[in-house]
Amino acid sequence: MNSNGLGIDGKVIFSTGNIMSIDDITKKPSQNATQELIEAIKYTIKEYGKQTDRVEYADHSRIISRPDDIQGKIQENNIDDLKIGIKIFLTECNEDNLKEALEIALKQQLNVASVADVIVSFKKELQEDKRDNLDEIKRIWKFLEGYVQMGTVGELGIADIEEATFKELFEWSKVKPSIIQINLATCCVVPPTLQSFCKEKDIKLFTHSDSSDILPSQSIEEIFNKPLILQWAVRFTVHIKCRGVLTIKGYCLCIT
Amino acid sequence: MGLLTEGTPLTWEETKKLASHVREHGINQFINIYKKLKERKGDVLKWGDEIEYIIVKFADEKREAKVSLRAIEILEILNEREHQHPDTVKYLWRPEFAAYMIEGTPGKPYGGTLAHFNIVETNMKMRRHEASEFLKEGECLMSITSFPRLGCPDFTDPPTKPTPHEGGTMSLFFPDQAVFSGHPRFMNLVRNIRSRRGEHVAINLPIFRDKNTKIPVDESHKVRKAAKPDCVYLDAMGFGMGCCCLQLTFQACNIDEARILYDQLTPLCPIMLAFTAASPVHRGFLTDVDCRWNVISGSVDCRTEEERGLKPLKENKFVIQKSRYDSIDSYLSPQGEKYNDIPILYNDEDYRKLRDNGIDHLLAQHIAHLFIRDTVSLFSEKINQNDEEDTDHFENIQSTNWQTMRFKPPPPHSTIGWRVEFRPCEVQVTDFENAAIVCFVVLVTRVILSYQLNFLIPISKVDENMQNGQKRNALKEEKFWFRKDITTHVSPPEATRCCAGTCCEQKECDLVGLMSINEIINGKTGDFPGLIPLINSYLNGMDVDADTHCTIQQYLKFIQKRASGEIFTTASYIRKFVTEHPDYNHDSVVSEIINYDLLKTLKDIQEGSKSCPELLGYSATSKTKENIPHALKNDY
Repeated sequence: MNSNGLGIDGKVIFSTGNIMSIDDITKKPSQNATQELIEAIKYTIKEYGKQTDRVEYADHSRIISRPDDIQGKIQENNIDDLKIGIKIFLTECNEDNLKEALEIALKQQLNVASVADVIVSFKKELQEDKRDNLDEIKRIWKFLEGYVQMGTVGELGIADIEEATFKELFEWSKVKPSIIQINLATCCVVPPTLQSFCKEKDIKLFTHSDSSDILPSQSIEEIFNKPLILQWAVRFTVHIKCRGVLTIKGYCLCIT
Repeated sequence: MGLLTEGTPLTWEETKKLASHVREHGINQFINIYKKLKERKGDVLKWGDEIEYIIVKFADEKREAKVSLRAIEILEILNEREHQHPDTVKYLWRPEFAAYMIEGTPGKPYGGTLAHFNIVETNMKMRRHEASEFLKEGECLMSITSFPRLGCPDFTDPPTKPTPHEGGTMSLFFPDQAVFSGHPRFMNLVRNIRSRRGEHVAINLPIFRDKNTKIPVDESHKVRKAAKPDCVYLDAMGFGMGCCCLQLTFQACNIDEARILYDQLTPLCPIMLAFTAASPVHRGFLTDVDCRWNVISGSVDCRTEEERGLKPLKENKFVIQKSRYDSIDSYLSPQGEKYNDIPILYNDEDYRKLRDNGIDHLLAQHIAHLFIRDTVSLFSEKINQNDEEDTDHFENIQSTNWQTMRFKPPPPHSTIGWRVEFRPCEVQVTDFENAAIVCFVVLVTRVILSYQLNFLIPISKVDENMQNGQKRNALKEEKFWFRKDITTHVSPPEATRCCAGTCCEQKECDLVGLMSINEIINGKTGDFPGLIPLINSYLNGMDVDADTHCTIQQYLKFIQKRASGEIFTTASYIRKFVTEHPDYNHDSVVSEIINYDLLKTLKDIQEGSKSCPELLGYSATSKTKENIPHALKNDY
């Protein structure tokens, strides 16, 4: 039993719901996703503790979530007017994790048939010489391409990838990446070669403010008082097209 | 300055007789618009800026700077281009009140994708460049809020003389030739406002008292009883409407969102006025105010002595608290209703008619309130109208209620939706600053809608802020009423307590607090999130392309620095320039040479040939581009 009273053994899935309507989080706007995610998890645990009808699955995995307004927010609008995007943070190159992450986000949290785009981010070790592992990226990419072919995902993107790796991936892939995401800190100094490559291939060069490790192990230990392991995390965002209104933002994550 | 209808202007006597005709039909016209368009929905975000410029003429050999009365010539060429290529022009040019002013807007509105933020500054730059092509040697198009020596002897090029005893303006200082003559509306407004009021408009700006400042300021008080000896006295519409400002219009997705934006932006008006303060000098004197707002307000104050409460009511119906150019008097959204705490005047029959036609209380009261103002400009060709089709009488009153916010119904037979205009900002020297302010305000609207924030405070407190926001150095020295908790989602435990009836009341009375602009914009740890941190958090959830995000970051850094006082407001910069000028005698007088050097310096800053970190910070450049990248063209 830890201080949160959750007694995490085995696998736990967290679902923060729509954090756009959590006042405590709005009142403390975070500069980066990690801070925001930590706040969201803490809030979810707090709210979860007040619930009585907790769900536990046969494999002893649990979903820790809280009542929220996602379905209402989606139904307020015509689904065609919404742009739903997902970013998956993988801690290891594992197709099962990817599949689980996507399914939890799409089916359990958002309850939608498809999303406009999925951006994948690979956790980088902080060693200086750590390079992109193209083979692993390809393996995951191939798996993601299947979702595009099924029509579940509209476009694919990748975050924090080296320019050379990105170009190779672009050449190799069947479903070409439509989006490359770079860290906000570098948005004013994008290499001109990357700029022109994106322009030539019609690729969207977007920014993010996520740290390379979305939920560092010391943060996990701080929250749960236990050295647990993050398997994957997903951020979903829903905005209203052509109006610049962000209506839903939230996270799902799996911890063992 | 609002709608410009062509035609033959009526005299004041004729106009006055038709006031009730305009009121009756104007209200009918609004009712018809409302009935046709109240259900209109699904509009996307479109928005645009409006910038006004002064044509300044430098005479380097004499070290003099004048206003050049050539707007009419320049507009003729610019409008001819527009006439030939109405669908492809990138900028639209319109006349303004003064013969030395022009107004420019983007040719097409910007859209709802964030990438549009990256083309705003380039459009402003190219806009300025386009109009500048037609300038003569020594002339410069400057986005300055007020011309410092407006109304001083020989302030125009070519030279003109005021005519206190004849003509339209009849000012001691402001000649009729400085009023734009290309359209009869402007001089007609001058005459009719003065005629309706029954005397000259009168603005008394407290002088900035330096160690050698002379009191009385000048001889005005000997000639005019309205002039106060310790103030800079101004007696013409041109002193106000001859100022430039920066305005923004947004299209909302439907009428309800338009009401929300109208209301939520209202408390930000005084904040943005103080933030953009840029006009400390009037008629060659340093004053104790930093903004143009009260000057314009006074310059078009058509209220009679009865309406100003100086005489018992006999001819007029109401004592009216404010000029027709002033801050708004009421909120329009249901959540705003309880903060409407100042009296809202209207004719009962107008209100009743609006209500009987299915218009709710808040909107009916707003429209009826606009119509307490008589028309001050009417054209013979436009008297008789088809209320089913025409909207001129409604627009006549709507466009001469110059308030901090404007609620705009869709024009009939157009693709345009319900819109809201944000009107408090003073214009800045550089396109970088103007683009930064414009993008900041649009981002704030997106943050309001995304997080469903609530900035509402009682209207009386907004009015108090409006006055404090204009004081000298208000950005740094004043505190403003602001809502302490801007979030709106009631979490379950709080809701439970509310139901028990203990916390809600307390929350209401503890609603507003005094904050500095730094706290409002940059936040205060533990107390208030701050507009910029909220914008950054919002942007983290949006798809923003790298160049646009870089540009926005530069804009937000600039806003942060100005809000914190790390860099000067335009007004503070001008003050410092004047008081440190070798020709300045600590007597509040801005001489011809100081005026020349100041404007020359502002020109160099505007053109980028002089860097000015104390005004702009160290990174006043962006990645602004002419066009949106192709990959984002079909985006959301």
